Amino acid sequence: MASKQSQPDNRTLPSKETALFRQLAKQYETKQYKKGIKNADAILKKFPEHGETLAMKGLLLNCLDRKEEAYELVKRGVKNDLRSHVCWHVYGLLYRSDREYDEAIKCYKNALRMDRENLTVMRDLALLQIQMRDMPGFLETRQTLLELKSNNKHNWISFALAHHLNGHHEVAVKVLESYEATVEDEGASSGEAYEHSELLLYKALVLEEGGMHEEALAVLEAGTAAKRLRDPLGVREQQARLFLAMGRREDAAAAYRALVAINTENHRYHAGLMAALQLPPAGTAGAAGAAVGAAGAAGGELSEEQRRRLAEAYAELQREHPHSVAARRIPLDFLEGEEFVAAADAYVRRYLLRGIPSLFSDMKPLYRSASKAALLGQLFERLAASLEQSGALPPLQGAEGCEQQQQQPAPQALVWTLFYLAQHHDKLGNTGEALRLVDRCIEHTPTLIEAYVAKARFLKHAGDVESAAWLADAARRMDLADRYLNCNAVKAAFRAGHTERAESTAALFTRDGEQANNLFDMQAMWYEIGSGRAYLAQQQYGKALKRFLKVQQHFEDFQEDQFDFHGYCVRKMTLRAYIDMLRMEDRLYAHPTYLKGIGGAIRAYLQLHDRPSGGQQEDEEALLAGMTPEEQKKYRAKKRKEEQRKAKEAADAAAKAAAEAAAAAKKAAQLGEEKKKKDTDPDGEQLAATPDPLGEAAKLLRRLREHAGDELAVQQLSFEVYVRQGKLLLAVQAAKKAQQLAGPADPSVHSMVVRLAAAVLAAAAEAAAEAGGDGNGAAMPPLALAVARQETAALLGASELDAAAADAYRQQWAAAHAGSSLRHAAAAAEVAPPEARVAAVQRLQEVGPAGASHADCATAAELLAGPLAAPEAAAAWRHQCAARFPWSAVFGGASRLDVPAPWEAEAATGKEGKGEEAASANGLAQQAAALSLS
Amino acid sequence: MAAAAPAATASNAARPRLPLSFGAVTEKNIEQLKLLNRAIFPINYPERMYKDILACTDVTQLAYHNDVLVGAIACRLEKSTQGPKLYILTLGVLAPYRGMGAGAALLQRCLQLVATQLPEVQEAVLHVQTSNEEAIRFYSRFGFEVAETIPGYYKRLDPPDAVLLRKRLHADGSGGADGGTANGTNA
Repeated sequence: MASKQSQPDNRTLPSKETALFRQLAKQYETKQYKKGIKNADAILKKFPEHGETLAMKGLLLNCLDRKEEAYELVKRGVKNDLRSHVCWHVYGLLYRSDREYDEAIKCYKNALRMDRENLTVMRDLALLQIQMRDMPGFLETRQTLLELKSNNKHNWISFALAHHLNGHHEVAVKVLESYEATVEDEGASSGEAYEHSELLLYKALVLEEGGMHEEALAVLEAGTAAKRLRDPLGVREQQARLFLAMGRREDAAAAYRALVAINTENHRYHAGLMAALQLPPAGTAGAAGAAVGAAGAAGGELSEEQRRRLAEAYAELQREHPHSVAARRIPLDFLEGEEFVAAADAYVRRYLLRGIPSLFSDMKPLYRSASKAALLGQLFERLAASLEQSGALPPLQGAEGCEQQQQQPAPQALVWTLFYLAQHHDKLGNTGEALRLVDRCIEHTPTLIEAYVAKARFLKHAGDVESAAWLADAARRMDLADRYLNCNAVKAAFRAGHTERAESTAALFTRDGEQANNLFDMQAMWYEIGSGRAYLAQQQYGKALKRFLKVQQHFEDFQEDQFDFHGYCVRKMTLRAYIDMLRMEDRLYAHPTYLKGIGGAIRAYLQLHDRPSGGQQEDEEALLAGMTPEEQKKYRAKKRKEEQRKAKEAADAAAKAAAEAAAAAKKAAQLGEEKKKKDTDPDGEQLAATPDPLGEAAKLLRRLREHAGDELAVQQLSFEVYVRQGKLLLAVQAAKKAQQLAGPADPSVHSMVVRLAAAVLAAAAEAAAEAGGDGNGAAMPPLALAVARQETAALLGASELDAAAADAYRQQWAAAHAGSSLRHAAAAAEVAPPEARVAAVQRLQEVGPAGASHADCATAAELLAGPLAAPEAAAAWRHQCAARFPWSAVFGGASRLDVPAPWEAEAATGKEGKGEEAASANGLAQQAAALSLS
Repeated sequence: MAAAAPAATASNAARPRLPLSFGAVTEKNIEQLKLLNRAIFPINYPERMYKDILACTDVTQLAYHNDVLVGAIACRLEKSTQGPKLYILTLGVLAPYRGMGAGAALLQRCLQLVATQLPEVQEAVLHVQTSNEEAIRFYSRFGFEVAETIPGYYKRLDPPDAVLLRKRLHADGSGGADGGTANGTNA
C-alpha cells in the first residue's frame, strides 16, 4: 500500500487490522465474499471510517449482488480516503462491473495518479481503453506498461497491436521485429512454434494493411521456406491477395486457381480469380459489377467480350472441377439467352432428381432480371411437361451422360419441378397459379412438408396471414421434432396476431417450457422481433417495447463479449483473429437485425406519442372540433399535465413494485438461495408509461444513426422522431440524407420534404409572432431558423423557402411521379392539402392496385379511410383490391381459404378439419386406381 | 380389426427400384403416417390404431425417398395362445412411387426385424378383402398362406368379406420371392 502516515484516522491501520485487511483482499480474489465481509466488519468495528476497508466491503457486497449498498460504501470509502489508489481502483471495478466504462476509466486514471506504477490498475485501464476504442489512450497506456516491464512478451505484442490499431503500421512492424530479435532461437515445443508462426503472419498482415506489399510477401516467403508458418491456407490466401494488389496478375491467377482447387465452393476464391483475369466478379449479376468499370462495363452490364471470356474461364473450371457446384452456378449470373437456358437446364437437374428443396432460393437472385425469370419459367414448364408425359426429363442438349439420367427412376422429379414452378409464380405475384401448382404437389406427395410451408408463404404474400399461420402449423405437426418447422409456425402465428399460441408453440422447444427466459438466453432475436411486432400491431406498447429492447440487450452483450478477448487473444497469440473480431465489433450495430429491433421500439414510442391515451382519440377529436383555438390550447395543456401525472403515478407504482421485489430478492439472497434476477416489469408497463416517448426514441436513434446512417429506414425514423420533437435542424439533416440515399423521386423522401417545409414555415411564423411580442418564448433561435429555411429550400429545389415554393415543389413532384407507382401516388395524396385531396385520391385510384404489393395496397386503404377521410373512395379501393388479391383476408377477396375456426381448439385435440377431407378424397381416388390394376 | 390388399403391377416389373431409406415411427412424426394412410386407403383409421402403433414402434417401418415419406408398413403385436403374433395393419405406398419395389422392401424389412429382434413372435397375419387378388398374390410371394374367410368383415366396402393370410415365422428364414412390387394394403 502507498504511504499511510497522514490522517491516521481513515488511512492507516494497526498491524492486526492490516493483517485482516490483507486477508480480506485475498478472500475477494478467491471469491470467498462472505468471509471477506466478516473481516471487513471486524475492522470497521474499530475503525468505522477506514476508507479502503469501506471500499473493499462495497466491492464484496457488489459480488453478492447488493448493488446499492455497494455503491454507497465505495463512495464513502473514496470520500474518506481520496488519496488511496485502492479506493479509486475499487470504484473503477464497481463501474466496470456495471459496464459503465467511461466512469471506470476516470476512476482508474485517478488511481494511477496516486500510484503511478501500479501495473494491475494500468492493465485494467488498457483493457477498458481498447474496449471503448480510445486508441490514443490505449497506445499511451501500453507504452507505459512496456517501459515499466519490458521483459514481458505480452507487453511487446500489445504495444505493436496498439500502434497497428492507431494506423502506425511501420512502427508496429518495428516493434514486432525488435521483439522477434529477442526470441529468435525458438524452442521446439509445438506451442511456441505456433506462436512464432502467428507472430510472423500477424506481421505480414500489418505490412499488407500498411501497403507494404513486397515486404509482406517477403515475410510469407521466408516463413514458408523456413517451414515456420502453421496456417498454409491462410498463407496462400494472403499471397493471392498480395499478388493481386501488386498487379502480378499471372501469379494471382495461379494462386487463386490453386485455392479454387482446394475449395471449389468458396465464392471469394472465384471472385479473386476473376479479378486476376481482369474480369468483373461474376457473382450476383448487376450491382456487384458496377464498381469494376474495366472495359466499358457500365452499371454492371457486361460487354460481349467480357461475357465470352467469362464463359471460357468457367468452361475450363467446369472441366477441371466437374463436381463443383459454384463453377456451374456462377455462369448463370452472367450468361444470357440460349446459353443461359442451356446452363440452367444442366444445373437444375441434379436438384430435381435428388429432391433438394433449396433450389428456388439458390435461383432467386436471378429474378432481378425479368428476362431470366421468364426464361426460367419456360424451362421449368418444359421439364414439367416432359416429366408428365414420359416420366423422365427431356434429353439434355449436348451432354454425354444424358442417357444415364433418363434411366434413373425419378418419380419425385415431377413434384420438385412443380414445387419450383409454384415458387416461381409466387415470386412473380401470380398467387392463383402458385397455389394451384403447390396443391398439385400436395396431391402428388401429400407427405411433402416443404409444400405446406411454401403454401403458407404464398398465402402470406397474398394477404391471408391467418390461413398462412394455420398451414404453417399443419406443417409443424407433421414433424414435431423439427425445430425449423416449429420456428416457422411461431413466426406465422405472431404475424397473424396469435401471440399466446406462438408463445406456447415456441415453448415446446425450450427447456422446462419456460420460453421467455430460455429464448432470451439463446438470444433468439427473430422471436423477440416477431413477438414485438405482434404486440405493436395490437397496440400493447409495453409488451412490444419490452421485446424490441431485448434486441438492444443482446447487441450490448455481443459488444461486451469481446472484453475477455482483449487479454486472451494476446496471451494465446491469435492476433489476426483478434483484429478481425475488433473490426466485426466495430460494425456490430450496423447489423440489419439491430435495425429491425430498435426500429420496432422507435415505432412503438412514436405511436405512444401520437396516441398517448389509446382509444380515446376519436372522442377527443370530436371534442376539440367544437372548441376555439384557445380552448384547444388550454385543453391540450391540461391534458398533457394529466398525462404526466398519470405517467408519474405509473412510474412510481412500478418503482415501488421494483423496490419491493428488490427487498424480496435481498431476503432470498440472504437466505442463501439461488439469486435469480426477477424481472420487475415483465410486461413493460413501466416502459410504456414513460412521460417522454420521443426522448426515449431519440436516445435509441443515436447509435443507429452513428452505425447505420446509410439505411433509408434509419433516416425515416429519425425524421419522424425529430419533426415531432420540433428539432427541425436534425429533421432537416435526416431528410437531406434520405434524399441523398434514395433520390428526390422516392415517395418517402417526398413525404418528408413536404412535411419538413410545413414544419419550418410554422416555426418561422412562430418566431415572427415572438418578435411581435405575443409568443411563449419557445421559438427557434433566428440563426438556426435561417439555416433550416435555407436547407429546406435546397431540398425543395427553390432558392427561398415560402409557402408558394413548397406548394410548387409538391405539385411538380406529383405531376412528375404520382403516376409511376402506387407508393408514389399514395405519397402524393398523403401530403396533399385539403383542396387538392380529391384530385390526389382520384389519381391514386387511376394508378390502381395492379402491379403493387399487397402491403402497399393495404397501406393505401388505410390512408384513404383515415387521414384522407374519403370513405367512398376507400370502399371502392377495397373492392378493387379484393379483385386484385382474391385470397386476401384484408380485402375480403372471393377466393379466401376457410380456415377451420377456431384452429386453436382443433389443433389441441389433434383432429384435422379440412386437411382431412382433402387428404381422404385423394386417398379414394388413388385407391380406386390402385385397385383397378389387378 | 382389419384386412389387407396390396395390388401389384406385374406389367411394370421392369421399372428400376426406388432408392429408399427407412425410419422408425415416433409420436413426433405419426402425423405423417396418418397423412400417408389417408392418401392411400379408402378407410379412415381410428386414433386407437395409431395408439397401438406407438405402443410397439419396432414393427412399424417408414420408407423415405429423397427424405420424403413415400410408404409405410404399420403393425402391432397381438397376444395369442401360441405366443405373440405380428398383425399387419397397413402396408401402403403413395401412387407415384408404386411399382418400384417399395412395398416388398417394407414387408421384407419388417419381417426381418421381427425375426432378428423379436424371436418370440411365431406368426404374421393380416386381413385382405376377398376381391383383392393382387394383394393375395403379393403376400403369397413372401410365404403367406390363405386361411379362413371372414364374411362381412368390412362394413363399408364391397365385397365386405375378408380372407385371413398367415405366415409361420421361423419355419424357414427366407421371406419368399424377392423383387415383388406392392401398392397398397389396407387393414
